[in-house]
Amino acid sequence: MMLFILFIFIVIFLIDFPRLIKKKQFKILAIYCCFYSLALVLSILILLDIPVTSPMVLIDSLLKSINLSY
Amino acid sequence: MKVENAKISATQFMFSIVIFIRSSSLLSAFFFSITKQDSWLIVLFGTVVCIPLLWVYVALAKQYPDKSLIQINDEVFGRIGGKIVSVFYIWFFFTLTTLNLRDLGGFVNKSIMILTPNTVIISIFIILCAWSVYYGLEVVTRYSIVFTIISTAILIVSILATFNIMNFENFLPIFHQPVNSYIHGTHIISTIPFGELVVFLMIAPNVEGKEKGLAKYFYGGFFIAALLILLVILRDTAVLGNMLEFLSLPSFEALRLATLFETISHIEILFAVLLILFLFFKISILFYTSILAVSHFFKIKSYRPLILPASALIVVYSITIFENVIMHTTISRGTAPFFWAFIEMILPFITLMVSYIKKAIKKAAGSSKEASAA
Amino acid sequence: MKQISRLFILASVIAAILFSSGCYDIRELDRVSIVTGLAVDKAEQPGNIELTIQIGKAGALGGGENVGAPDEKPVQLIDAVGESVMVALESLRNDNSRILFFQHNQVLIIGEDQARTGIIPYLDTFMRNKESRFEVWVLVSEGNAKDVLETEMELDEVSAVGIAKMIKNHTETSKSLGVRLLDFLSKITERSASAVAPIIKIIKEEDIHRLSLSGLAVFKKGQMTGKLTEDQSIGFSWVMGDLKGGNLSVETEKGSAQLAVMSSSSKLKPVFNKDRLQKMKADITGKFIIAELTGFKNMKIEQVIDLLKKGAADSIKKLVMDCYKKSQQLKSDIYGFGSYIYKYHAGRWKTIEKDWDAVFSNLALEVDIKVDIQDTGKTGKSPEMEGIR
Repeated sequence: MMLFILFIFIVIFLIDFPRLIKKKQFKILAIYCCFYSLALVLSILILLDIPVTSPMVLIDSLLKSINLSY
Repeated sequence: MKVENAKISATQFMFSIVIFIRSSSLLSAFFFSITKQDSWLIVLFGTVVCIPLLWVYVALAKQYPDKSLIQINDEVFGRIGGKIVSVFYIWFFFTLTTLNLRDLGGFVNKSIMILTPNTVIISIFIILCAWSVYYGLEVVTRYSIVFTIISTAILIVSILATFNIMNFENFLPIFHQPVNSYIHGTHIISTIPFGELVVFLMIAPNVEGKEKGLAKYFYGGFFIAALLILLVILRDTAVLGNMLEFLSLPSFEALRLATLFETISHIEILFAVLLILFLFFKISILFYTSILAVSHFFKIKSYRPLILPASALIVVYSITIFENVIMHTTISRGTAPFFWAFIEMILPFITLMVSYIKKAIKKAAGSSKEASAA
Repeated sequence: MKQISRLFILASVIAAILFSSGCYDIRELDRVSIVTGLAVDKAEQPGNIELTIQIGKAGALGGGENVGAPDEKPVQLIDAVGESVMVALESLRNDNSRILFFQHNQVLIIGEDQARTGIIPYLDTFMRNKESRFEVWVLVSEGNAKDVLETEMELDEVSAVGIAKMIKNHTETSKSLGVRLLDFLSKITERSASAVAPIIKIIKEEDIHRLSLSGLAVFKKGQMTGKLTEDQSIGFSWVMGDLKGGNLSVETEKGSAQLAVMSSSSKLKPVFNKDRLQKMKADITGKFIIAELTGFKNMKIEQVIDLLKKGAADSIKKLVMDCYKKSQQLKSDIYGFGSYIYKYHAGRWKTIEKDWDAVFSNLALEVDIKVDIQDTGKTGKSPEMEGIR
């Protein structure tokens, strides 16, 4: 499973990355890397069964603590 | 600075709004369990509540006809303030995309492909959406008119097919739920499908002929959509009666009971096809706006290279966002309306007010300058 | 270069079509068992149920020629005991080489014993399960439900399919005589909390066993409380106002007749005396055609019709009141008067909601019957009537 996920990420990487380097669009490249690494880290965390707290749940508990809830 | 130069016609814009809202009829279970047989009233209330909201959106779009929401923020709140507000919007767009994707996965899982893992459905679907987003706004919105016609035709057929099992007593008694539940239901419907129209502020600058009639098309699309949703809810209530509140997919079950003849029965697959079509459309628009928002945020020229990592992120996010369906429903019913209201209603309103004040100050400064010059 | 990449894409598309066709959870016909009927009985062990599943064999279901060996049974019955439906199903799955396929399930039969102990917890499974459908017919069997599924019918080899057809025919006469799972659940969760379900029983004639629908079982809060006879269930249909078939026998002092019911309607109205519920009023209208006349010597047809109208009203009233008394006795508001009052007089409903059972069992029913005889059939006269010597 891990290998499969990594394979998909490598494929994604190969599709766009070289072109961006060639065109020297480094600003886009930086944002690209942010997205890419975030997705990669999250998926590895999921694979390793490490619980990830979603922002929705955080907001939920925040709003509940100030009694803004039905 | 313009990232996307695509132009779409005003009619396409209008029908995009129709489909966008119409696709949320899946979520009717959120308020069916709260307002029961009076849910159709909730749609009316929600429509009324959203008219001033739409006015805010239209006014914003008119104030800055060439700018998207993110760019408006930069203009209104300045460099740093604008970025802070924009972060909220970007997060909101991504979350909406994710939530809709998850709804779709859950629906396909519950109704058609029972054993296929959710993640597989979601991944395949996002690839399709990514593909359409890659070709740009024109492609995303091009089919809106056709989709609307198909969906309306199917809606009419379904109403005819279920007509003999409708029981109009199911609407009674009217106005006998606790007052709170009406407020709650209106809040949900005005934030979850209707208020999501805020994403169209990202697209508005690309509409052709917006100087003349953007407001007309904005309102027009909204009212058509509200009417269609109203019809769906009326049909479901009339068919299902007091079982409404127990079912997680009321429309699906309603169509399941439809029988034209012995041979033409179980037309629920129509609903399934329709819903997947709609959600494809909605997710494409949401996905497009999220990436567009990011590219406007960082002021980069092309959003296309971001599509693939963003879709990977969305798939992963959709897995982690909620642990299970129950959590999804309780949060969507409990706290999400408040938070959504903050992003969909209060933030645009503040933006509009600040822009008006700025304008007034500028004017005052200008006139005082003139006065002093004279 | 471009051509090569195109070729590559084409090749991969073809490969995808060839190798990943079909569904993720594909189930071919030889790997599934098509469930046609379910039966829930009380098991010998207390607190447990016996779940019986009828599996139709493909040849028998298809109709037409018999594909299998002539003496092969068209259905297979498997059963298991468990404390809940899911537990029983699980053990059935373990014992079966094939996957159970519930989408074509026709009937859900509940044994009388189990019905009397309560069925709500078991219905939950059928509601929740993704595979099950809400439009299966719900029946109560006199005696063991398993035996009903076991009985072979002459025309329909798979008895569950036959039973479904029988109920379908019944509903042509009156819609309220057939009950789908959705209606059943809806009625039970409604304010009146009472529902009915048709009773099916096995009639033994020498060595032939037949199935027959007779009357209705009355449920209250998910528990069977009693039965309505066939006549009483016709009375029930009269009040529900959806009878559109069957015959009504009329006795008068001058002769007797059979009237064929064409259509009927009924209007309910609660009568309040200053916020207190006084009585229910039912305005029933029936339209008939004369099907059979005996007697009426030396009478004109107009006189006969007048007599028949009066007689018909009387016999309808008798049927209705018979059924009503029985339901009061069972304290089960099968007509849904409670939900009717809730729907049209929600404010007043609040005051009587709490002791609705007591109110209902003492509630007077006023029946107002209008009879309309529309046609005399193919002949206007009868051999015994005036004008024929």
